[in-house]
Amino acid sequence: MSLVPKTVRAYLRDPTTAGLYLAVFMFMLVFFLWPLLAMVLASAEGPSGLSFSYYADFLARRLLVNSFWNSLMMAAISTISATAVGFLFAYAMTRVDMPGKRFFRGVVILQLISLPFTVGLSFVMLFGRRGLITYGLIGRPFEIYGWHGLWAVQTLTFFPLAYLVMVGVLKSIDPALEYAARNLGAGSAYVFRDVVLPLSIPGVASAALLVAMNVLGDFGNPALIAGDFSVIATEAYMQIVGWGDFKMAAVLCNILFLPVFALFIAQKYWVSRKLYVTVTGAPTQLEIKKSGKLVKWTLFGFCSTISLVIVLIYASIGLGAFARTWGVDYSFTLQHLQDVTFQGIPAVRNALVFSLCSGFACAILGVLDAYIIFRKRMPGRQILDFISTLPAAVPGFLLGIGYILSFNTPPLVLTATAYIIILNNIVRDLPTGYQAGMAGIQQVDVSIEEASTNLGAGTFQTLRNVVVPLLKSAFGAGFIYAFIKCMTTVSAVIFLITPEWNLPSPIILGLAGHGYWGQAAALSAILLAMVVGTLLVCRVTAGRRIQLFEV
Amino acid sequence: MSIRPLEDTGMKILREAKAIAKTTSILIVIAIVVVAGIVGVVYYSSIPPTPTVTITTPTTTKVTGPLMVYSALHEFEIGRICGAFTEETGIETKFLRMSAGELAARVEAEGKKPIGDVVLGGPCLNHESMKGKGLLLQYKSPTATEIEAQFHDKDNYWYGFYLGAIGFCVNTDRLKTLKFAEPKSWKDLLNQTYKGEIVSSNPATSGTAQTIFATILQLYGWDAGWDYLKAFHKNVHHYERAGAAPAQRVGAGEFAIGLAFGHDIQKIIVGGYPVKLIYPAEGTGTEIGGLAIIKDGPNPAAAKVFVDWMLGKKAGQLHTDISLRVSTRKDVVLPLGATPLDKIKLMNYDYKWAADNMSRILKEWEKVVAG
Repeated sequence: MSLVPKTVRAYLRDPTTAGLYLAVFMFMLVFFLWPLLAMVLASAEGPSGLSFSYYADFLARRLLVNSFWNSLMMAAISTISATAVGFLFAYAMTRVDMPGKRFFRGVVILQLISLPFTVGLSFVMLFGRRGLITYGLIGRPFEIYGWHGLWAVQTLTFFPLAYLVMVGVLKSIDPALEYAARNLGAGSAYVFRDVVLPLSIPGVASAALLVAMNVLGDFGNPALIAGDFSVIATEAYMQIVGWGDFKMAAVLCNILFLPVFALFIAQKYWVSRKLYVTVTGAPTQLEIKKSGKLVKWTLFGFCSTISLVIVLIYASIGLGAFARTWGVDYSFTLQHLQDVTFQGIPAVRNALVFSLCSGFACAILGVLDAYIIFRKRMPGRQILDFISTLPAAVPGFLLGIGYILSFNTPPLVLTATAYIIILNNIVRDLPTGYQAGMAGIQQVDVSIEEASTNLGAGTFQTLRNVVVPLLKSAFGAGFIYAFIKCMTTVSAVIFLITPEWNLPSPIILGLAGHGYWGQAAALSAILLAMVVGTLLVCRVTAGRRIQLFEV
Repeated sequence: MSIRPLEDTGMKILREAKAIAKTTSILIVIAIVVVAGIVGVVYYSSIPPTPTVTITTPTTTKVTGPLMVYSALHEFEIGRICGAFTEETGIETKFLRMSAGELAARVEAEGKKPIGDVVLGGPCLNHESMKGKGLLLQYKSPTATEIEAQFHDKDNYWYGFYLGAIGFCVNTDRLKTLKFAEPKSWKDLLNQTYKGEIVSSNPATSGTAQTIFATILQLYGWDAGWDYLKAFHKNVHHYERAGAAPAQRVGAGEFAIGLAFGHDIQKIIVGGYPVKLIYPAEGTGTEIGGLAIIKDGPNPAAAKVFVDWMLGKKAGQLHTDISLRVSTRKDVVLPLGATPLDKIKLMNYDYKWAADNMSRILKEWEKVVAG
């Protein structure tokens, strides 16, 4: 008995799970860990063996070192502002009985499903030096290019992420605690300061870290709006597309990876453990007490202002797509749509195919992954859990560069194929699929599976006949999240596209950078219509069974 | 927990044995698949690529697509040109737009496994440096004889199909509100009143910017040229990735002065923006827009058909009509709004020097930007 180690015995007893463990691990090893490792190897590989000369070179180049500090600075200030906006939004939506909640929720969802650099593009059109509002309406030219413009853009782009996290946290804070405080004579301000705020602090921290990781990895907005304010993402891009210097790009990526990795570890092992609310169980039926008029209307005004800006952003995209020359002549034209068809239509078709493929793969892989980790408590699940969530923290451009470095030479050559783009998307979106699977599995009572096992079914049979039917909605949610992310991603695929496998998001970024706002807006509108269309189709076919964005 | 039926010890052992047998068989199958996969991949990558049979007489075989075009022209121009080419020859085309500097870096990075077939457009200093790195295919196009030899590479690695000269794009409305005088010369650009009102492009990515920098360094000489560029940098608001973007920005009225090729500025004027094109009084640098075939590209036969077609009169006229660029062909008629190059004061610009010194210029430039 004791000859065989316990771990091995656990694997041998359940071969299906063991096989799945192995399969998921091998997949992540080849398509996630290897590209990361390849980046480290590339940066430390000198003409004669191990060398850190590229790192020394980095330290000697002031422009690059500055861009590192700029990145950190931008992440810090954007995180503070985006988290604050997200918190106020979430608080208003969960604790205040204000009108127009459906509208505000719609606005946030619109932000979550659109191209990450939509705000950057439309801010130039609206609030730029010749923006429709700053110049056209107010008549005051406003300097949008630079760190302050980027700050505003990143705040608006990433506050919905913070909102999503915090709505979940605030919803699960038991109102009974607030009732108790009120009964003891505390006023609204006291309840907020002494009950709600302390309980939501871990949620705030979690949201803040998520925002910080995203800001550090964002490429599109800095490229459009930062002017001469350089960040690591744009400098790494410049090293590759301008200089063809893959080694220096790898150095920049590795240096950026350190803070991002630290944030990830903090989020995963420290902050998320402090979420008190997750253990309280079923929410009570107590109604949340109505807040005072002043608080209510202040928060309503705040949410309205933010929402108005976002509505303006999408209006400007719609208007820009059909206005002859933005800033000069606003007469109607279809010219921009015509201009982008030759390149745009095949690209949109590619995006749809890729997103369908990686959406399905992500959903299947995510649900499977969550199942074997949470239900089959086998040794090694912590490792699997770690590598299934880590891709969420890895900036897109970093994994894009890692893919070129690892799959351009044998044994596995994938560059210039569609597979490299699909695989990259699967890996990057796996955490979303995994999370959807996790949420689904936690809703299914384990006793149903036990019943199946007691009746003599093996792991595979239980999976097929019990788990899969019960997890359909989790699968659906995972698919849609991954599909949307894949349709709108830009920072990783910008390094992987070829004339044959081009995608709309890099084209839009190129057009916007070229100053072709009308055409960029036109293609953005087409892409957004595709995503919204898919969401609506899912809504109609699956009804309310798939829970989306409503933590 | 429910009550389990009592089990015979023998049954238990049998069950355990069965489970273990099942497990091991599955693990063996997985192991075989994994090992076979690895062996297959290693074997596949170890065999040398089968030499592709090159057809020496392309006239007898039908050339098929797709043709991969890497181009530095504007997106819609490439779309129109590729569309016309497909219509005429039946060869399907796909393209990727990059700025000229990015394009050269990409072709170099792809190295021995090129994805693109042809390089369409961009200043020939980039083609010249690609030629120097052995990335281009030598091809003697029969159509090239219809164009003056001075616009081609003497070794037939690249052909010039258009010409351009650097100019200033000036927004007259914005200058009027700011009460600034129009810049007439390179020297005028250093005037401190223009601070923050000039926009240029980035020499790391843009062939236009590379031409501008080489122009300054040739006009002033290396040391005085860098003094000029340092002072110039103080006035520039920022540097765009794409060479034509400054003209767009100035057209929209975001900035007063932009540096770009004349044809990109003329497009803005024709588009109805309040913009004026000024060529500097000291004389200005020029480009020969290059066309080349990438060595070992996936579809050399189609690439050759494309080069022959692109250098022809019909394609030349189409390209000039939609882009306002001056063709290297004498028989291409200039549309309204374009300026022939003999009406402009040109300097004696040496693109070979620019190609040879570009990496040195870029290194020096980074120091200037970092301050």
